[in-house]
Amino acid sequence: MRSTVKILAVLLITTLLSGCIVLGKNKQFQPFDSTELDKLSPGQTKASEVTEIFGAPSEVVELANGNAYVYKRTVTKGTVCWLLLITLGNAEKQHDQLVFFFDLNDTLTHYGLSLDADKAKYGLPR
Amino acid sequence: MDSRVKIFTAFFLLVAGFFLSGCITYQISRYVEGDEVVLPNDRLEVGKTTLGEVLSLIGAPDNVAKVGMENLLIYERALLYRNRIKVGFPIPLSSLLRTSFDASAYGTLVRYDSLALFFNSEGILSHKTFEKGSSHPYFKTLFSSNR
Repeated sequence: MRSTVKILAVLLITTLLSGCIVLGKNKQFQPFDSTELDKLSPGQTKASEVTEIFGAPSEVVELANGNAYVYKRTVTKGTVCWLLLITLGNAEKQHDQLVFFFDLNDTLTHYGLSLDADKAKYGLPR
Repeated sequence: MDSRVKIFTAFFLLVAGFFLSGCITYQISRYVEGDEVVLPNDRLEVGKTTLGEVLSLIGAPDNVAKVGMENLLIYERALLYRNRIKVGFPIPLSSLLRTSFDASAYGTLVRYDSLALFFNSEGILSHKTFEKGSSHPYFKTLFSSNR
């Protein structure tokens, strides 16, 4: 009799914990190399030199006193866990972004860099 | 408790577990885009801080735009939370019957942490605004009558 109870208990626990988990990764890749930034000098480098080093930008934005070239790549990591009655889903999207600011003469004035793509993580909602 | 009752209860729960699978489901979803946005208030001074200082302090913005004669830099993080409960019959009956029972309810809330910095044509910070949307609690904000 006891063994029957044990078997049923194990089956019950197995049923309640039955489910599956899925991990997914999505990458929007752009091959810019941020270590090349040393080759640039604000006040001297031209927009054409920037595109020669970093390639075509993802976006060009017209500003009040010039233009901004935006280079962006994205990593998304997703986790989904299905249990008997509960489904848990989590997705995290992070970017590496490089923005160059040019004046009206297409000369580089400033640039900013954010490297956050590695911060995208798998996990459950919290 | 009698051992037969225990076995019956365990068997009933087991069978109910099989049949309830897919019948009642509760989903919790979370989506985050962007890194944490912080406002370094003590280091951003309107009329003094330059574009170069901001870029070296906070890094590249998520969005850049022209607003009149000024430039706008936006640093943003979006947080989406969704809760959904679904009640329905696990076996599709549409092939046998014309009617089938299925009901669900969900609530989705997207909150934004946004830092907007305006620069004049000389590249000097002219004004700034910061909103920490993630500080608003999920259920209270979702069911609040405020838009």
